Amino acid sequence: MSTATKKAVDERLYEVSELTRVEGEGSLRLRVRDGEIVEARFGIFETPRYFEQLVVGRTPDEVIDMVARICGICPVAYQMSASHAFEDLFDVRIDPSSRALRRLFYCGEWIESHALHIYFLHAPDFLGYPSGIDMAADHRPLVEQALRMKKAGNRLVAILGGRPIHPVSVRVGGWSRAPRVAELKEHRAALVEGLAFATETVKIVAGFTMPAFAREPRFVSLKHAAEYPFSDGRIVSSDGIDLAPSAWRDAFEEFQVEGSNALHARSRDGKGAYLVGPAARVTLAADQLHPLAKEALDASGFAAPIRTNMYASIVARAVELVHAFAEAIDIIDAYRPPAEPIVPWQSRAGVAAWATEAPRGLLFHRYEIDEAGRVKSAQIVPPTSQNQAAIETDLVVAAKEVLDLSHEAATHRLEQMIRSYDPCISCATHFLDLTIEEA
Amino acid sequence: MIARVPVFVCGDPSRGDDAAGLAAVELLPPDVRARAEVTAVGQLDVLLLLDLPADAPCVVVDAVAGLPPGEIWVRPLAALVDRARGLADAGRAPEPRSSHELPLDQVLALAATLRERPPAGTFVGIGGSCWDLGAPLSPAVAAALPVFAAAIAMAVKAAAGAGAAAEEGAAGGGVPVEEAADRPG
Repeated sequence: MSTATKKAVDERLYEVSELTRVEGEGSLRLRVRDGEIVEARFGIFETPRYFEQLVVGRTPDEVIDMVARICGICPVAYQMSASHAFEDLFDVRIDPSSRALRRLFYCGEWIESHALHIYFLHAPDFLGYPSGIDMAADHRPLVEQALRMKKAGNRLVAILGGRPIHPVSVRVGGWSRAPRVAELKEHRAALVEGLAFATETVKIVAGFTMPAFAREPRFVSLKHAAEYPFSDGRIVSSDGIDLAPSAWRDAFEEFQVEGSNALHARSRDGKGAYLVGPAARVTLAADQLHPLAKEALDASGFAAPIRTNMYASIVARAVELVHAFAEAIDIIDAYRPPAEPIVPWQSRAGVAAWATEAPRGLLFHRYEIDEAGRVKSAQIVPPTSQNQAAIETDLVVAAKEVLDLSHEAATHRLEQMIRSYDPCISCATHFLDLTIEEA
Repeated sequence: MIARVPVFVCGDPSRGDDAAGLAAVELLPPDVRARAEVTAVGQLDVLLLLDLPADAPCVVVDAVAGLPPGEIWVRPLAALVDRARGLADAGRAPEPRSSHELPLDQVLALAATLRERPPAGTFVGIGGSCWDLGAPLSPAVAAALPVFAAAIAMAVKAAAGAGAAAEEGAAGGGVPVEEAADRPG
């Protein structure tokens, strides 16, 4: 819903009270007075979820099952950040095959999440449709292939996690059950088909007309010396931050913002907003992309635009789709079931903390564990919380490019910009509300 | 070989009346079960419909919010497609159950768009009132289960008849559903 109110001769108000094609409930508000942006807010009014309190008193394995419920799109990420945090504290070394399966698990989640966002949430903006369903009438093969890619990702999560949404097989120390070789091989053909279409997807989205936008954000992601970041590596930034994955709080902090049901995040060095997610990963870890994904990125010509044009994040997401399919096939081809799907472990008191890469970006978990092996306190920092400040910063940049457009076109363009982040409001449970007022 | 009728049963067994469809198909008589390929799907996936052979009828079973508990509601799938499109044409929001899933009529409409014709077959629903986690079926829904099962059975028989007719009319005969499910749509 969008409204415009003339408050005075020199004032305009644009408002989107319920943003569509994002996960969760948010809004956008932008106020412009005398040509200056006086307010840019990405509002999150979805009700608080209270997961950080729900897990208090629970054991690590219970926590892994509970945090999967935070999101229907990226439950794997929540399970991975939690399990790695506990394993780091308990000094657990999982079987290498179990570790490979966890990367495969993440591939499945990135595939289903990125395919959903590219074709059903974001592409309609570029192609001029109000929804993916409307787009389907004119682009049937495209939409059907997108559905098949998403299904391939969901199936991978189901094979490993027991079900496609809110999986249940991850445990501290490994898995409650490791798949048989045949189970994974049966799914290989669907992944090969998906890889071909993902590669085509990079070409398709690179052909979209990107709205004008120029701001190079401060990028933050995991980076690993030998692999594209999923669950391991160091937290790095484009300007020199370099931390262990457990040390997010050394450089960043959360804070409350009036009118939002989600906490914001900022860096402690006073530089404020930073960007996490596909554009950050592709920028900071391009050298670790699968060769097929790197080839697709290079051929797209978008390695540079991804750094400065937020709308081009759709290309970064497509490149990661190629990576996820390609790495999944490689993992399946090399797979040997672990001798023991789960290794024994002993709880101990202390702080368990770790960051992994959810489809939307860095996801940090921190748990204080007591002598009885139960959670005393928890902190969960999802990527959309971290991106909120960057979104509001970019709203200001984008607004300057759209004020000459009609109200409807300007509002749509700003919504498109927000969708470039693929915000998951249900995860963040902060705020998003678009209103533009101009004086 | 006679093709079995795909029966897609939506619902969550742990959420009160949402389990009604799953409970009802357990009551189908053996002769109907033999003609049905029952699949519990949770929520209907559009690819299940796209993977069906063209014009092969199916039956979709689900509990329905907004009807009196226990009331049986049977409609052609095409009618649900018309409903979804009517809402869209009227500019009305589709009222999704959650931000992460499409409601059933929109799934059917998407399948109709992608196949350029509505899915063949019947929707069989039952009004529900309680969707709480861990809740049993509400008394009215539990009492109506035999009637609900009978409605499903009728839909299966009708679909089996339509499917057989389609097979006879098709050059070279029909495609067994269980084989066709693995083929590209």
